[in-house]
Amino acid sequence: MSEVSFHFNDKLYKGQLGEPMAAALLRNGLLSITNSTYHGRPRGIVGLGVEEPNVLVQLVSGTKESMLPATVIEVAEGLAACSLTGVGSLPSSPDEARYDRTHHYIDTLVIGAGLAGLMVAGEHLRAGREVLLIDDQPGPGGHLRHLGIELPSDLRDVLAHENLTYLCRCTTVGLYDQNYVVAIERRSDHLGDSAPLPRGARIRVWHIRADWVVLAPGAFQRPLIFANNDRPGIMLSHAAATYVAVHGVRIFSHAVVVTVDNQGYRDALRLHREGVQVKTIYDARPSAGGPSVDAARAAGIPIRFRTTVLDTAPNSDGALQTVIIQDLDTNETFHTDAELLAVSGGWTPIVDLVTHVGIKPQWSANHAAFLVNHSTDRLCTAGMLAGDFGGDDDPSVFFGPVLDSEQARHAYIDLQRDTTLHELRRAVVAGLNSIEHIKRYTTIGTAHDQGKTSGMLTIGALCQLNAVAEGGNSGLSPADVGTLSFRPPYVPVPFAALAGRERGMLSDPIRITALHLWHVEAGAVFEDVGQWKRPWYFPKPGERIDDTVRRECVAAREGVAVMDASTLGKIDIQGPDAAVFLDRIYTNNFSTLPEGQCRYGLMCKTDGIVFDDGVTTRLDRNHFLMTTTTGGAARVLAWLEEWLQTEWPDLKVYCTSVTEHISTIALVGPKSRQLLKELVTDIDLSKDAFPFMHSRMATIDGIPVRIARISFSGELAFEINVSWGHARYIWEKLWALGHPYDLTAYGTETMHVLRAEKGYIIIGQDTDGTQTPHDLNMSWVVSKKKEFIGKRSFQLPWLKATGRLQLVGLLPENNEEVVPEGAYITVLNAHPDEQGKTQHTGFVTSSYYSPALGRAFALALVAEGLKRMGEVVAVPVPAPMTIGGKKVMRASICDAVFVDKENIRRDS
Amino acid sequence: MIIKESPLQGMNMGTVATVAIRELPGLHTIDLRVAPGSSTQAELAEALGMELPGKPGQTRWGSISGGSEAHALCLAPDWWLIVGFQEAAQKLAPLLLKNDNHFGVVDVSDQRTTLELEGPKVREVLSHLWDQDLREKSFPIACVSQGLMAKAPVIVCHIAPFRYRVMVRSSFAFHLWKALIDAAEEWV
Repeated sequence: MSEVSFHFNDKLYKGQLGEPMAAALLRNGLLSITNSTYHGRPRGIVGLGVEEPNVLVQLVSGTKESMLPATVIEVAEGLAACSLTGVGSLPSSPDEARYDRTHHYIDTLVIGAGLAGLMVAGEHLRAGREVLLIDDQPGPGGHLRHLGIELPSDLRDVLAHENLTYLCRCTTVGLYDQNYVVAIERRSDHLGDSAPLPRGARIRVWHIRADWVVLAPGAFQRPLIFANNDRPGIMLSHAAATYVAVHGVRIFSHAVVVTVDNQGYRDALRLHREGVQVKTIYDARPSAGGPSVDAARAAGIPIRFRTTVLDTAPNSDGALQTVIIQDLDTNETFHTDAELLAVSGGWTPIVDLVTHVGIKPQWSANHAAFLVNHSTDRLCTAGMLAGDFGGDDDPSVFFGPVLDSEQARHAYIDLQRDTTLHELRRAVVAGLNSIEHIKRYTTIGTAHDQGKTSGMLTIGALCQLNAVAEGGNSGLSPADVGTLSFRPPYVPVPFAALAGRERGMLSDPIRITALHLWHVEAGAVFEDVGQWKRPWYFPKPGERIDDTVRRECVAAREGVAVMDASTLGKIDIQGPDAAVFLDRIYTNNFSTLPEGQCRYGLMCKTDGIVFDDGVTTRLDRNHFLMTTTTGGAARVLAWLEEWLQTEWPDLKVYCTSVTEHISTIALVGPKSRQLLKELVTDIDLSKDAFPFMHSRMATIDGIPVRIARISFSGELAFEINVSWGHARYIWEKLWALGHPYDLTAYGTETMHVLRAEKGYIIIGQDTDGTQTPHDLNMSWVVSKKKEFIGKRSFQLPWLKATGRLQLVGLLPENNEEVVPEGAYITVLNAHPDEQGKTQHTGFVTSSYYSPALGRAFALALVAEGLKRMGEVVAVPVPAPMTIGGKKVMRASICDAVFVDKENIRRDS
Repeated sequence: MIIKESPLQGMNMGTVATVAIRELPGLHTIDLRVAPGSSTQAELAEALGMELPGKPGQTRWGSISGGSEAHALCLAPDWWLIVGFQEAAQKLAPLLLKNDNHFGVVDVSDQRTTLELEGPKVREVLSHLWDQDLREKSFPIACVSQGLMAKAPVIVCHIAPFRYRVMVRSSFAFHLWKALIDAAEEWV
């Protein structure tokens, strides 16, 4: 061990590298360290590990993590921390430390590297199994570490076994069904700032699945309930003896030990051997025997039976000065002075993890503890949890003396929540008797430590209250009360650790097309469409979005423009029944589609509501290529598979996603044919030879491509389909050839304007999940001759009812004013009702400025809108600068097709 | 012939002393669907000159003309990928014309790209992102499995000792590359 210095509350202290910060603080004389959260009472260190209820600190160094018990922080060079009054704070700067997760599969997982855990690990190793041993301490040995005893050689051999992996500083936080365990490994905090920064994470979250799980977590010592039991200087006896004997704490000259078991004697002896004068051991039991008692007696430590601590009195600093002892038979009290009151209230085995999977601990009066003696072929307990306490313990079931109401006000059960026996009594008087209800009523066990010391005290106090009420003869035992249900996590876990690496650029996948780098180099501004990055628009220097979109629209309507349409979902559908299958999926017919031709299709769910759309091409008699919306690709494939696998397994059809295999380049505009002729020379692209909605195979420099006359803009347009790996070559060649034509790349914003001008819907934007094809004025795409999914639902009364929202166009009276998308539409001069609400008659779904029309326009869903052509409606919109905060825009309802109603341009 | 561009343009990093990660660009791949155990399956296998493994998760290696190696991966009871077999579709084409045959064959070479990870630390790296059991006894050489890696759909194949292939959808490839490089931070 080497000496290092660290800061606590801005003062410099010396400590031993790796020792608990609590030990260093005590050795430096810090008995009163903080004040309690609600009552403001001085508090000091009580425990030895994660059960510590009092001394929580905030790191000032490193990650500035908050709410860490001083008993678990290891002293290292550069460590700096400050005390908290039970309320921590998050630093304002982001936590830049690295956190990650890993998944681990193992034959046997042993939780707890104490004697029991190591012994069971040895058994599993001998059975030829691989073992993962995890323990939250910096080193193996468990209880032996607290006693400063080296591991016996046979257990050192277990640790050194080649089939054993040992992780220290690794705390199990959750046990789940099927032997699934989550643990957090603290990997770098103990190194301080003198050590080189380790590679990898500060905290690693382990997701472990094991064939066998062995739980040997050990136990916490518990305190007793007595008046003023929270003063600095009152500690768990095992913690006090360990700090004195192992960590060289020399601040106590006189101690009093109060016990209900033989552990108190062993701790008294350790204190005695280190030069602390143990004035008396007060034992609540009528008598005691065994080597521990004999040894204490032989050392000359006075022992008094049937006595316990009733109350304490403070010195001027609020720390312990006087212990008031009560004779349990005569009720006489007497005073004795000491700096240390070491309390041994029995052991509480750590049942938390087993209760995570619903195993109920069983009360054992012999152990004065809840135990889990559980063994299946997959999960077993060992050590103290299983009732193997070792030693000669003969504990009595005793939680503290009977207290009057004034004493109860200062008899703390949960030190962190400042909850007292008084409040527990109030809960019982209020009629609460379930431990779970009492927990929530009093907040006992709901703090940072989740009742690690207070849970068992609450159970004990309940039994005692019952005994007082029943005249001293309680029928209620802890077995009747039962334990609290513990839930993961066993100790607090930083959110940053749970997030792991899934933050920033790795928080969600970014999907890109084969042409993404070209778009980046061309200065595209991107839009997120699901997980895809799509070019939104391609601004030239100095352009604003409106300027760019106008330029791109004009190019598509008057010259030639190109866009990357590769994100569309593509599904290869083949088999002798492919056409029949599509007839059932789409509302319109596909069996009548000739080979080499394309058709727009609309699909509904069984409720008759529009679900997805796209163009499907018949490549061959039994072979189709379906396109879906960008966002719908995965759910459409799942939908197709669901029907094929569960409803129509007789259909001979196979579906395969080819979304990424095929890249799609849309070439749009009156000059598109002229330009394409320069790129594609082996097929006839003329109007008559290659009509609208036809598909042709071709080659470009030997690269096979499929050209289709598909238009999502209403212009003359061609789609070039090519494999991902050749997409960039084709795009760049097209770009070079397009220079004389002033070929313009456009993004999704221009695509939206162009398609809206033509009245083409986008499902999800122009629908809200309640529209049938008829509502969208698309009855033309609904076959009357065949069955298809959703057809029968069209007969449902509410789908036939009047007043349904229908898709229409909207022309704002002010040509220049684009109405906001999502704005509600009302009738003109609508009046608010008594509640001040105005009935709406629809809402705006898509709204843009159209360079082709030279005005603003919109698509909207309007109640019974198809029968209201020409009606002027009101669109109230927020106007923060006006009186009343809103203004009313006026617009007239019109047909949803604004450009080229006769399809002359499209079919040219 | 114009050379295809792969999603990661053949990127590689790391070293086989710990872990090396590299893209294997341009692995020819076809997607094969056929009723399991049918006579058509047997005909397909014969035409390919390769055994089609019977259970999802299994793979078969086959030597094809020119001495190179092709892999048949069984992903579902009626679903296989044939990897590294340029002429596969050609060899199956005559069967498609036979009337009573029903099977699906689709070129999906560009649907995914392949990342190969190799080195003694390969399992440590993969375990950060892969929640399935990679132990030799559970996932021995020649096993294949599907799942999500860094939220991207992938196919993982155990190729050789301490050598794995991850087939990832092309659009997700750069994301997965970043996630793998990040996961390997301790070793590269």
